[in-house]
Amino acid sequence: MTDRPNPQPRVLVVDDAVTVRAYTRQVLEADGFLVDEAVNGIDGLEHALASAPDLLIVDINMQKMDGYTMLRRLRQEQTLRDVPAIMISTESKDSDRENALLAGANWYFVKPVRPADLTGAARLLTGRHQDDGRQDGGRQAGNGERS
Amino acid sequence: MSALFEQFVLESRELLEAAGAALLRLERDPTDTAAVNDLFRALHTLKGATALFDLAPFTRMVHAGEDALMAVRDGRAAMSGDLADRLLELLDTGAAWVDGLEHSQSLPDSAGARAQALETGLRAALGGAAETADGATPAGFAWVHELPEAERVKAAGRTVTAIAYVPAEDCFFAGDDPLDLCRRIPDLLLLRIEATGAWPPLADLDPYRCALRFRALSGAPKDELTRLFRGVPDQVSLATVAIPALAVPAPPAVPPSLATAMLREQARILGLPGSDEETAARRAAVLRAARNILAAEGRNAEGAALDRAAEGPSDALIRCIASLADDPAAVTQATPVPPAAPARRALRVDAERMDRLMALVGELVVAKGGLPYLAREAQEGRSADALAQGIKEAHGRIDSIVGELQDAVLRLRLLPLSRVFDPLPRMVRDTARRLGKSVELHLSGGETEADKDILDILGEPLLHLVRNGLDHGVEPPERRRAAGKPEVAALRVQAFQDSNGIVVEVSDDGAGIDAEAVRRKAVAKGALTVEQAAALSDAEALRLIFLPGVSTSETVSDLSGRGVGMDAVRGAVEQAGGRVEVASTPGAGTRFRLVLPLTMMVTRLVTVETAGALYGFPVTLVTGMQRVPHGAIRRMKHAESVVVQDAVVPLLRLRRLLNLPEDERERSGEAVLLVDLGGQPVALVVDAFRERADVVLKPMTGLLARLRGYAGTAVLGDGRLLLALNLRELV
Repeated sequence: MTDRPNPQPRVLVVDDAVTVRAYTRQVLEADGFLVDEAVNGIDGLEHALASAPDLLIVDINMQKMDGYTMLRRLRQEQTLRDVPAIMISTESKDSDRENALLAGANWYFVKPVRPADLTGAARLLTGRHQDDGRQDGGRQAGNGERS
Repeated sequence: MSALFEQFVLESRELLEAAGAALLRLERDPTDTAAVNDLFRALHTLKGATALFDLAPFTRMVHAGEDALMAVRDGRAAMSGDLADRLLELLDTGAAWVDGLEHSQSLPDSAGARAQALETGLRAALGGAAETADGATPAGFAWVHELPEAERVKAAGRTVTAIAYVPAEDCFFAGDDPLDLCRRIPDLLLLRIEATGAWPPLADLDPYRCALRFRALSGAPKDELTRLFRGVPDQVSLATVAIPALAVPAPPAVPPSLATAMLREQARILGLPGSDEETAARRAAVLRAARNILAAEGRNAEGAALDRAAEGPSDALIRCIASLADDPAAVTQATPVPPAAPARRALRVDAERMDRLMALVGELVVAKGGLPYLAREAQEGRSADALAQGIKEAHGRIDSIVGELQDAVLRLRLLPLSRVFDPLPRMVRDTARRLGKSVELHLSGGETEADKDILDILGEPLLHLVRNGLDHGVEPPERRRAAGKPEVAALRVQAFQDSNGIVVEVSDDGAGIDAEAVRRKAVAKGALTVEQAAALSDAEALRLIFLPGVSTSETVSDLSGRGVGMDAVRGAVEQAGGRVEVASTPGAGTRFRLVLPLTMMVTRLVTVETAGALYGFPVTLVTGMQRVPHGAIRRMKHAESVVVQDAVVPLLRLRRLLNLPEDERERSGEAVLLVDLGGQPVALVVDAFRERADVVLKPMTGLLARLRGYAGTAVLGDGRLLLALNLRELV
């Protein structure tokens, strides 16, 4: 397979709330992910284009460009259209979940997300083995030997 | 406190402040949709942040505010003074909770009840919520309750809007598209399309006549739907109805593993409608996601099956992913909670400033590289002159970089004054409202920056001056009218930076301060004799308000207190090494001016020598230095004075203040330092002037901390010790 899972996947977190970003970063970094942050949709697009992340975690309600618009734009980019994306919002209505998936998300979480759910979903969507890094507290990335 | 929690406290404060500012804008102009959106967004973000921690009452309270704003945004409720008050109350409660959280990391015990009370109050302020309270279903909507449970499962337990839409038979000719209209219903929970009557035989069916009726439930408010159906008001009826909860709750499905749920979702995503381009993009993302999920699960063989299916049509791919999802082999466990990362102390720093710091360190490294070269030259026996020249040059380079480094580091601590300005609009609004005065606040210079410590000190005095201006300065509207002034008073707060540091001015166009009244008050308080008071110029008399107990107001109000404020203002500002000035024109207004150093970390001192020791005074207090011949010093009993710039200034001798022996040297005159003591100029005799020095002041510690008159100690560049004096405590 050409897209062999990255041993230390890069996650782009797009959220305008600094606390949420900090939380997400803390949880993901502790589990061995590399985390990049962006503060709104436009910033998110720029970061995504520049760093080619392995996973996007995107908030919906943001200034300048919301998460829906950002994902739709991103899905139009040849290089980014297949990057798995998780949308996270405080809204728990079915219609919000549906809109997120329509915009191009692969998964939807309602805030707040439990750390285990977040890392679990991030591992699945980036192809990291579930047993990776458990013994050493998640600091070390896996060896990427599987194909 | 964890770094994350610290971050939360910081952000919450900012959000509450932003919300408060937006709310004030909104109250001034209820049609300001940008303000509604800003306020809504701030609360929304705050709600999300509180939800990260175990702060349910907080989340609930903010949620109630968010709901109220949504009602305003959607036009279901108007922005009233009452609603604004309640929202402000909510923000205040939030601010108090955040303060408490910072210390105890928990909400007060009463938080739940408080949140509930605010929620109820907000609902009452919104009004109109009673419509749904009685539970009665409006006529024509009985069908809502006859819905099979399976159909109303999404709406169960909610208050929703029921829609009965019977399009006119000839609606197609009117350009209506009933189905499209129904598909645009926001938050659609249920849609039933039924025939209006029995279907005629196929041969008689007229496809140009609409024979359908639409029944729908939506989570959106009635008003929003009224707008949606505004083209066909005669054909649609809307009602707010409460849908009872399901009698038997749906049996909880066995929770699928996350991987199974995700794979199922990927299959479902492939079936979503959209343009060709959209579906193609979704398919690419779904394929990659599904492959990754299988890889993460170690199910690589099945990944191959997925690849094969990917080459086929969408239906095959959907089936393939769905079957992979339901594969019983795919049992995963949730990842254990990762251990919390070690707490870090965080300081928010502007990236540009950090970059500058990095660049300077780079320069320093380069400059350092020149030193070994000099050492080698010394070993090789270069002439002392040439070496001295080289060392001087290296020193010059490093000196300038170090200077810039110091400046860059100080700048890391600089914050905009808007942090202390931000509470002012709210405070002015509330205070003016209570006093029945109309005041417009003009803020400027909020972008001026000062050290964090200075800001902390500035906050209180600033509030005090503003409150004072509102209470004592600004006249009631009728007095302003009588005086021919505009009814709305102007209160100005402006900040700017000048060579001495930052200047903050608080001015009003009110009645001004009556110098004569201040004189009388000071005499009555026993601070001065009648003669002393009479001898003061008006400008000098005004400064008396900074003395303890001298208030200019005829009535004591609960707002500005009893005249203790001005003394406190002076004390706080001087403690930070600054000074305060006042100027007033009766009938035209008053201006207070606070002059503060840019930073407290490095204090610029004027140093003097007296009795063999070095003393320093903050440069912001020193207004001049001059030599005064003995003949120019006047003596009256024990007091001495000197004329400086046509003003009589009391003369003090530092040796006497410090109980040091008298100066016995032969000399023709005295070295006199002119010092501003909170508006009161004083001439201070010292032995000799020395250079200015930038020092990092260390406060007196231990037993010495109790000594009055000393602001701190500092070590000069050449190792000499210096005592910084607090002259006000000595005089």
